[in-house]
Amino acid sequence: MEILNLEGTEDTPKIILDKGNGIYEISGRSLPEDSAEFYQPVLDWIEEYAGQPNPSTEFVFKLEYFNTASSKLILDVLSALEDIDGTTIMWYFHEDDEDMEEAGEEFSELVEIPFEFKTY
Amino acid sequence: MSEEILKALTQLFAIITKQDGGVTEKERLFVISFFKQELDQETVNEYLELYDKYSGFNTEKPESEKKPERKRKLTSVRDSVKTLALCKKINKTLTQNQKVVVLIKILELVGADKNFTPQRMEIIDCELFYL
Repeated sequence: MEILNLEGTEDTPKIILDKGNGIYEISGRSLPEDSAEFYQPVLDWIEEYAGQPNPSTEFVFKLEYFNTASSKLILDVLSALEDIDGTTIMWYFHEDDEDMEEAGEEFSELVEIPFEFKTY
Repeated sequence: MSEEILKALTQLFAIITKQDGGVTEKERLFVISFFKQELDQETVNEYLELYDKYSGFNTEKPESEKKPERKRKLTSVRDSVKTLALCKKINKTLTQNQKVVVLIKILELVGADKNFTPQRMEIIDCELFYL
Protein backbone atom coordinates (compact mmCIF):
# COMPACT_ATOMS: atom_id res chain seq x y z
CA MET A 1 0.00 0.00 0.00
CA GLU A 2 1.34 3.43 -0.93
CA ILE A 3 2.62 5.79 1.74
CA LEU A 4 0.77 9.08 2.14
CA ASN A 5 3.30 11.71 3.10
CA LEU A 6 2.31 15.38 3.14
CA GLU A 7 4.73 18.00 4.36
CA GLY A 8 3.29 20.40 6.91
CA THR A 9 2.92 24.11 6.25
CA GLU A 10 1.87 27.10 8.35
CA ASP A 11 -1.78 26.24 7.66
CA THR A 12 -1.78 22.53 6.93
CA PRO A 13 -0.66 19.60 9.08
CA LYS A 14 2.11 17.15 8.39
CA ILE A 15 0.62 13.77 7.55
CA ILE A 16 2.33 10.40 7.39
CA LEU A 17 0.32 7.26 6.79
CA ASP A 18 2.68 4.34 6.33
CA LYS A 19 1.25 0.85 6.73
CA GLY A 20 4.60 -0.93 6.21
CA ASN A 21 6.28 0.88 9.10
CA GLY A 22 3.14 1.18 11.21
CA ILE A 23 3.24 4.99 11.28
CA TYR A 24 -0.03 6.92 11.25
CA GLU A 25 0.33 10.53 12.28
CA ILE A 26 -1.29 13.92 11.78
CA SER A 27 0.62 16.76 13.40
CA GLY A 28 0.97 20.53 13.37
CA ARG A 29 -1.58 23.18 12.48
CA SER A 30 -4.75 22.55 10.50
CA LEU A 31 -6.44 25.55 8.91
CA PRO A 32 -6.55 24.60 5.22
CA GLU A 33 -8.51 26.83 2.88
CA ASP A 34 -10.65 23.88 1.84
CA SER A 35 -10.63 21.31 4.66
CA ALA A 36 -12.76 18.78 2.79
CA GLU A 37 -10.40 18.78 -0.19
CA PHE A 38 -7.31 18.64 2.01
CA TYR A 39 -8.48 15.65 4.07
CA GLN A 40 -9.95 13.66 1.16
CA PRO A 41 -6.66 11.78 0.42
CA VAL A 42 -6.46 10.87 4.12
CA LEU A 43 -10.00 9.51 4.11
CA ASP A 44 -9.30 7.63 0.85
CA TRP A 45 -6.12 6.15 2.34
CA ILE A 46 -7.94 4.99 5.48
CA GLU A 47 -10.72 3.47 3.39
CA GLU A 48 -8.18 1.41 1.46
CA TYR A 49 -6.27 0.53 4.65
CA ALA A 50 -9.50 -0.64 6.32
CA GLY A 51 -9.68 -3.44 3.73
CA GLN A 52 -6.45 -5.00 5.04
CA PRO A 53 -5.31 -3.26 8.22
CA ASN A 54 -2.37 -4.17 10.45
CA PRO A 55 -3.34 -6.09 13.62
CA SER A 56 -2.94 -2.89 15.62
CA THR A 57 -3.11 0.74 14.54
CA GLU A 58 -1.83 3.47 16.84
CA PHE A 59 -3.05 6.60 15.15
CA VAL A 60 -1.28 9.71 16.44
CA PHE A 61 -2.81 13.18 16.54
CA LYS A 62 -0.25 15.74 17.62
CA LEU A 63 -1.96 18.97 16.69
CA GLU A 64 -1.09 22.47 17.80
CA TYR A 65 -4.27 24.00 16.42
CA PHE A 66 -7.20 23.15 14.15
CA ASN A 67 -10.06 25.37 13.00
CA THR A 68 -13.77 24.59 13.11
CA ALA A 69 -13.88 23.27 9.54
CA SER A 70 -10.95 20.94 10.29
CA SER A 71 -12.65 19.66 13.44
CA LYS A 72 -15.44 18.25 11.31
CA LEU A 73 -12.93 16.48 9.05
CA ILE A 74 -10.96 15.16 12.03
CA LEU A 75 -14.23 13.67 13.24
CA ASP A 76 -14.66 12.10 9.79
CA VAL A 77 -11.15 10.61 10.08
CA LEU A 78 -11.97 9.25 13.55
CA SER A 79 -15.26 7.84 12.31
CA ALA A 80 -13.45 6.08 9.46
CA LEU A 81 -10.99 4.59 11.97
CA GLU A 82 -13.86 3.40 14.16
CA ASP A 83 -14.44 0.46 11.82
CA ILE A 84 -10.84 -0.77 12.01
CA ASP A 85 -10.26 -3.35 14.76
CA GLY A 86 -7.25 -2.78 16.98
CA THR A 87 -7.19 0.99 16.52
CA THR A 88 -6.09 3.28 19.35
CA ILE A 89 -5.97 7.05 19.13
CA MET A 90 -2.87 8.60 20.68
CA TRP A 91 -3.96 12.17 21.40
CA TYR A 92 -0.98 14.41 22.14
CA PHE A 93 -1.28 17.88 23.58
CA HIS A 94 1.22 20.37 24.89
CA GLU A 95 1.35 20.18 28.67
CA ASP A 96 0.07 23.77 28.92
CA ASP A 97 -2.66 23.33 26.34
CA GLU A 98 -5.82 22.54 28.28
CA ASP A 99 -7.96 23.40 25.25
CA MET A 100 -6.35 20.69 23.12
CA GLU A 101 -6.67 18.17 25.94
CA GLU A 102 -10.40 18.94 26.32
CA ALA A 103 -10.89 18.87 22.56
CA GLY A 104 -9.45 15.33 22.57
CA GLU A 105 -11.77 14.36 25.41
CA GLU A 106 -14.77 15.71 23.49
CA PHE A 107 -13.71 13.74 20.40
CA SER A 108 -13.31 10.59 22.46
CA GLU A 109 -16.96 10.88 23.48
CA LEU A 110 -18.11 11.21 19.88
CA VAL A 111 -16.57 7.97 18.62
CA GLU A 112 -16.14 4.49 19.94
CA ILE A 113 -12.37 4.10 19.81
CA PRO A 114 -10.00 3.95 22.77
CA PHE A 115 -8.05 7.18 23.28
CA GLU A 116 -4.76 7.55 25.09
CA PHE A 117 -3.81 11.04 26.17
CA LYS A 118 -0.18 12.06 26.23
CA THR A 119 1.63 15.33 26.76
CA TYR A 120 4.68 16.58 24.88
CA MET B 1 -38.16 21.84 23.57
CA SER B 2 -36.71 19.52 26.22
CA GLU B 3 -34.38 20.78 28.92
CA GLU B 4 -31.49 18.85 27.36
CA ILE B 5 -31.95 20.50 23.98
CA LEU B 6 -32.45 23.96 25.45
CA LYS B 7 -29.20 23.57 27.35
CA ALA B 8 -27.42 22.42 24.19
CA LEU B 9 -28.85 25.39 22.31
CA THR B 10 -27.80 27.76 25.09
CA GLN B 11 -24.23 26.50 24.76
CA LEU B 12 -24.34 26.83 20.98
CA PHE B 13 -25.59 30.41 21.28
CA ALA B 14 -22.79 31.13 23.72
CA ILE B 15 -20.05 29.57 21.58
CA ILE B 16 -21.13 31.56 18.52
CA THR B 17 -21.48 34.91 20.23
CA LYS B 18 -18.27 34.70 22.25
CA GLN B 19 -16.23 34.76 18.99
CA ASP B 20 -14.69 37.93 17.55
CA GLY B 21 -14.77 40.30 20.44
CA GLY B 22 -17.45 38.58 22.48
CA VAL B 23 -21.15 38.85 23.07
CA THR B 24 -22.83 42.23 22.53
CA GLU B 25 -25.77 43.65 24.46
CA LYS B 26 -28.09 43.26 21.44
CA GLU B 27 -27.14 39.60 21.06
CA ARG B 28 -27.72 38.97 24.74
CA LEU B 29 -31.14 40.64 24.54
CA PHE B 30 -32.01 38.35 21.65
CA VAL B 31 -31.05 35.33 23.76
CA ILE B 32 -33.21 36.62 26.65
CA SER B 33 -36.21 37.08 24.36
CA PHE B 34 -35.71 33.54 23.02
CA PHE B 35 -35.63 32.15 26.58
CA LYS B 36 -38.79 34.12 27.42
CA GLN B 37 -40.62 32.41 24.57
CA GLU B 38 -39.60 28.98 25.81
CA LEU B 39 -39.43 29.27 29.62
CA ASP B 40 -41.04 30.78 32.71
CA GLN B 41 -39.35 33.79 34.34
CA GLU B 42 -37.54 31.85 37.04
CA THR B 43 -36.07 29.40 34.55
CA VAL B 44 -35.14 32.27 32.21
CA ASN B 45 -32.76 33.54 34.89
CA GLU B 46 -31.25 30.09 35.34
CA TYR B 47 -30.61 29.72 31.61
CA LEU B 48 -29.33 33.27 31.30
CA GLU B 49 -26.79 32.52 34.01
CA LEU B 50 -25.74 29.47 32.03
CA TYR B 51 -25.46 31.51 28.84
CA ASP B 52 -23.40 34.21 30.57
CA LYS B 53 -21.09 31.58 32.01
CA TYR B 54 -20.45 29.86 28.67
CA SER B 55 -20.16 33.09 26.67
CA GLY B 56 -17.93 34.79 29.25
CA PHE B 57 -20.29 37.78 29.40
CA ASN B 58 -19.02 40.41 31.86
CA THR B 59 -15.85 38.51 32.59
CA GLU B 60 -13.45 40.95 30.95
CA LYS B 61 -9.94 40.21 32.19
CA PRO B 62 -7.94 43.00 33.78
CA GLU B 63 -5.48 44.72 31.43
CA SER B 64 -2.50 42.99 33.06
CA GLU B 65 -3.89 39.49 32.32
CA LYS B 66 -4.77 40.11 28.70
CA LYS B 67 -2.77 38.20 26.14
CA PRO B 68 -1.49 40.17 23.15
CA GLU B 69 -3.95 40.14 20.23
CA ARG B 70 -3.15 37.61 17.53
CA LYS B 71 -2.98 38.77 13.93
CA ARG B 72 -5.77 36.41 13.03
CA LYS B 73 -8.54 35.60 15.47
CA LEU B 74 -8.96 31.88 15.99
CA THR B 75 -11.77 29.82 17.45
CA SER B 76 -10.54 27.66 20.31
CA VAL B 77 -10.21 23.96 19.46
CA ARG B 78 -12.37 23.13 22.44
CA ASP B 79 -15.21 25.33 21.13
CA SER B 80 -14.93 23.75 17.67
CA VAL B 81 -15.28 20.20 18.96
CA LYS B 82 -17.94 21.23 21.48
CA THR B 83 -19.95 22.65 18.54
CA LEU B 84 -19.77 19.29 16.77
CA ALA B 85 -20.88 17.46 19.91
CA LEU B 86 -23.80 19.83 20.51
CA CYS B 87 -24.97 19.63 16.90
CA LYS B 88 -24.85 15.84 17.00
CA LYS B 89 -26.93 15.85 20.17
CA ILE B 90 -29.48 18.27 18.70
CA ASN B 91 -29.52 16.37 15.41
CA LYS B 92 -30.42 13.10 17.09
CA THR B 93 -33.33 14.54 19.04
CA LEU B 94 -35.06 17.18 16.95
CA THR B 95 -37.44 16.75 14.05
CA GLN B 96 -36.57 18.30 10.69
CA ASN B 97 -38.93 21.23 11.39
CA GLN B 98 -37.38 21.87 14.79
CA LYS B 99 -33.90 21.83 13.24
CA VAL B 100 -34.97 24.49 10.77
CA VAL B 101 -36.25 26.59 13.69
CA VAL B 102 -32.91 26.17 15.48
CA LEU B 103 -30.96 27.26 12.42
CA ILE B 104 -33.18 30.28 11.92
CA LYS B 105 -32.73 31.23 15.58
CA ILE B 106 -28.95 30.95 15.26
CA LEU B 107 -28.95 33.19 12.17
CA GLU B 108 -31.29 35.67 13.86
CA LEU B 109 -28.98 35.72 16.85
CA VAL B 110 -25.94 36.60 14.75
CA GLY B 111 -28.10 39.04 12.77
CA ALA B 112 -29.22 40.78 15.98
CA ASP B 113 -26.08 42.89 15.83
CA LYS B 114 -25.24 42.17 12.15
CA ASN B 115 -22.09 40.49 13.35
CA PHE B 116 -21.59 37.98 10.53
CA THR B 117 -17.83 37.58 10.95
CA PRO B 118 -15.89 34.78 9.21
CA GLN B 119 -15.21 33.06 12.52
CA ARG B 120 -18.91 32.96 13.42
CA MET B 121 -19.93 31.91 9.94
CA GLU B 122 -17.42 29.06 10.00
CA ILE B 123 -19.13 27.69 13.11
CA ILE B 124 -22.57 28.12 11.54
CA ASP B 125 -21.35 26.33 8.38
CA CYS B 126 -20.35 23.42 10.54
CA GLU B 127 -23.76 23.43 12.22
CA LEU B 128 -25.50 23.55 8.85
CA PHE B 129 -23.73 20.35 7.93
CA TYR B 130 -24.76 18.46 11.04
CA LEU B 131 -28.28 19.74 11.65
